Amino acid sequence: MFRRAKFYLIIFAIVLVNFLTLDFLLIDVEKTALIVAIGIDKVEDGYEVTAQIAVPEATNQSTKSNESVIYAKGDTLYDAVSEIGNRTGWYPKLSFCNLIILGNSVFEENVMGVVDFFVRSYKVEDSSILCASEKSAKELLMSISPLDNISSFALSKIFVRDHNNASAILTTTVRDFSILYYSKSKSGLMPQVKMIKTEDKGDNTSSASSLTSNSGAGGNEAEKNTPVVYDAETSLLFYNGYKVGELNGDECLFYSMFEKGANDAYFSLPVTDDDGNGGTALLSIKKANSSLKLVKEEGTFKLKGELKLRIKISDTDFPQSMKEIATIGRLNDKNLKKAENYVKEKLSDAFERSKNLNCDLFETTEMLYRYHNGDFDDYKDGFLKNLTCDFSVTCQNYI
Amino acid sequence: MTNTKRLSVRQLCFIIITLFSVSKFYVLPAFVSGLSKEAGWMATSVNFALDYLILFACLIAVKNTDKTLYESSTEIFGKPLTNLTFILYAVYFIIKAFVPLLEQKNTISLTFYDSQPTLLIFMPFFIVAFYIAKKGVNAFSRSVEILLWVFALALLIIFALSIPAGKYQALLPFSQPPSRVFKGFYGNLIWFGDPVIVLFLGDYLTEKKKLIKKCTISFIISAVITISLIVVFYAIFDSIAERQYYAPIKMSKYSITLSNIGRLDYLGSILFSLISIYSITLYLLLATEIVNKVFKFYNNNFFVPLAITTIEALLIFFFQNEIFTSIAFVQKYFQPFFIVMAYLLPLVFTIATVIWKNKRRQNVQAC
Repeated sequence: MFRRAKFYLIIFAIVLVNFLTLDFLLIDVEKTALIVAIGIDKVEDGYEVTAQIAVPEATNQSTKSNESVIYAKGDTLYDAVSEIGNRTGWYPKLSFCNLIILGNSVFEENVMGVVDFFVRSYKVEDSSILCASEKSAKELLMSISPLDNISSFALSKIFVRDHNNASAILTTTVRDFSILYYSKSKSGLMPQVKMIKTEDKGDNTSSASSLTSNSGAGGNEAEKNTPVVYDAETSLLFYNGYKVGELNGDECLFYSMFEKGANDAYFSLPVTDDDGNGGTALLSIKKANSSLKLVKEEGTFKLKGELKLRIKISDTDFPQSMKEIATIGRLNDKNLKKAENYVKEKLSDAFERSKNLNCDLFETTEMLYRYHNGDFDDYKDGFLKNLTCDFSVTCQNYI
Repeated sequence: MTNTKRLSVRQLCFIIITLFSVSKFYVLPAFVSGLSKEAGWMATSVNFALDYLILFACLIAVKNTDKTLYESSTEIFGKPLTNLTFILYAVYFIIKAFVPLLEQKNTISLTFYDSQPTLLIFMPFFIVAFYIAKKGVNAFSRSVEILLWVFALALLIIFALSIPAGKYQALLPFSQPPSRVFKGFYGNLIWFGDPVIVLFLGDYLTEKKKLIKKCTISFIISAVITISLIVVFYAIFDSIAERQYYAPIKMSKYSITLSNIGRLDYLGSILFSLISIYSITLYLLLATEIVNKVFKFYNNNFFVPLAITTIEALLIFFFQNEIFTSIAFVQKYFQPFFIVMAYLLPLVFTIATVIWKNKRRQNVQAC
């Protein structure tokens, strides 16, 4: 009995000593650097990683975007990330990294050379948002935004704003991008962020004010300190890991309706009302139903897309009569037809352009494999090239 | 093994539901996705079908005898062969616990640690395993009554957060080449073969009323849970599924809810780990009981559970960073051994029991 008690006492002592001296080797939170965003640029001799960090410490002072950034270079991405730890003495904690920005230099090569690090690593969550920067990733992370002290937080807000709704911003994550790359379609999409200067100089706590112009190439200090807001309404198209082209805002919006539901998405259209007034109207999409099918007709495949939109006029740039305003944004038949044609044209443009660039935007090769598996081997070579599309769009008044 | 009856049919059913499925949640989904792609769930279904055959055979063997497994085996095969087989089973259970234990160690390291932690962080597991192995089936069976509800809560959390994130067309096409299904089935084998446990646990059953029916239902529940997890897992990860090891900590993080409240899914993962640790402990417990029986040690012997736990700890110590090499090693060199111990011997034993019983009945009638 006494021997048994002694044994348990020894075990207990070992556990206690471990806990009190090493915390079971848990790393003290103050020795970690919480990396909240990573920017990656390709440089001559490898990669440059720009990490935006949040250092856990007791303070009531807020940190500015460009004060919380660390750079490191390495032959590979892993090497560069490890270098951050070596330089700072911190353990770079990547599990809080919610945003990965790829600089424009990365797109000169197969982008998966960078992205697969995040698939390979257990330390970074593959639920992180992946986006491209029009300039270098470093510049984007160093930018000052009136929306938040930390630029990556401001950027993240754009991407997660209305996650479940169709929008011109095609948010993608490491997982989504990788799944498409390794799929039969070998294609992908990634939103590209452009910096837009505001007139607001310096005070980060003020809200975004009027937008002026697209930023230039950067350069002097004053320009660098000019607050910016971000535009991510353009998406880059990829095939086999290489950037092949772009989709504009409206194309992204209508494309995303095949993936998500729409509630309060907008697009502009030139209209003429019943009183003969003409101008541009902002149309609000209140509801969208979509279907996308790959059908085989007389030995050839066709992509058939159907989009049913419930729309209303939200605003016009010309005065309308009270009668028109009182109809709660109803469109006349002529304008409905015009809207249908506009959406159809945008979808067809997106399809044809991506097809010509070899990018399988609508994942048709994957659809061929999933839904027409018997035909896959016979048709897979040059499938996209021979594919035609038929988009049918119906617009109806919301009320 | 022992005549003290300490396990009810309900507790056995709880063991089948929880412990038969949880050990397949970690590396298996990624592994089978790598081998069978979208047919991973089909390959796993075949594994379950085969396991059910063995479970059914074991249940018949358990139901048809009032003696313990050791006594029945001695009667049919003789003492030397029975002792040898039992020792082989002790070895089998120790090796069987090895891969799931490495999976657990890595899951815990990845979830809580930024750097490679020492094995000492995993020491509490061995203390618990030693304690349960020493206490015997009685303590274990009572714990299982609580574990079922912990398991249900963990499942609820993981499935609620992961089901909406899946794109289920990823499971198409349903028509798959048999070779692809077979590849996954064969690769899966080291995670299967649990029904043989029932043969050993049968000794402790307090009653055997509706044993086959209840255990069959429990096994179906266990199979449905595991296959559903693999289906959801593949729907979430599709073409990158084969890289997504440790499914419970991976598959539930895509819910938009988590961006506001943090990694709530870790709660489910931790609960799964708790249950997994119990399922691994069961192997060590059975190995202890077997050694006690063969070498006629007292049931509350101190050194046998200590020795078995230490062997397992040493295995983990030497191979702690080599999980995938270890899986490949076990598959390459121990797969035939596993097949014999988990599938062949239980079948042989059941057939021999039935034949022996009929023969004895004929002898009695002849007399």
